[in-house]
Amino acid sequence: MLGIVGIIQLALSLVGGILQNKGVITANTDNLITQLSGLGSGLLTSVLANKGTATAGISDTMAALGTLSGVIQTLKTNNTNAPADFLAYLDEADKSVNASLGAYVQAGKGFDVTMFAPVPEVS
Amino acid sequence: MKRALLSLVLLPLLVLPLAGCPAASSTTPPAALAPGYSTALDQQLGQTLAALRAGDYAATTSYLALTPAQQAAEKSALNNFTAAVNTADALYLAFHAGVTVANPNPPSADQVQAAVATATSAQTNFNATLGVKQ
Repeated sequence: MLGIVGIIQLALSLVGGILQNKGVITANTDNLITQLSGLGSGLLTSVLANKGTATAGISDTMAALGTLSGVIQTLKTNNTNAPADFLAYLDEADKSVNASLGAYVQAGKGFDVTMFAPVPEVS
Repeated sequence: MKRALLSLVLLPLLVLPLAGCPAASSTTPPAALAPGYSTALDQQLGQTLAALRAGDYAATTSYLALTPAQQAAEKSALNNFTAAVNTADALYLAFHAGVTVANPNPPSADQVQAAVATATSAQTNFNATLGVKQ
């Protein structure tokens, strides 16, 4: 379950970052920000409530992250004039969350040694 | 599209617990292992590390598109995350392979789990740098 916890931490970090940037994104996304704020606390509540029941925790988490992915897409669409670093941040978090989820599901279908190939460090 | 795909992924997760409901007097049968895994722990570790590795790989790819200031904020934590994931993956592959002629003393499950914990901690540290952008 450590992988899922890491994904949740990434999602919560994302929510926190978006809230930090509330002052630089357009006003019409206030409703989305409210949704994100609730989603972050909802994720945490779900994980705590489902402690020890792995399947329920995973499905709840994946459902919440599916919603999060949709909200991220809306934020990216509605904030094309936002600072470039903020948009890059959204892209980075979005890709990382989706890649982790996809790999977790794919690895659950069968062992594949290519999913453990070394990752090169950045220079 | 992503949401549609996620819905497809979620469906079996939501249905499986219902399909597996046991009779009142029986115990719940263990979930079937996916092909290629030897035990439930082997599969759990494999899925966990696959998720960690994919998130790390995506982050290293995204890193190239960041501004120099963003790269400076993330580089150290990202490389620490990568090193921890690579170490955990190598241990896991040896654990997964079991005893072989080339490796008569594979790592224990505890050793792999400790490496996964280290990688998760490194991921947490890296995630913290994602919020430092302004």
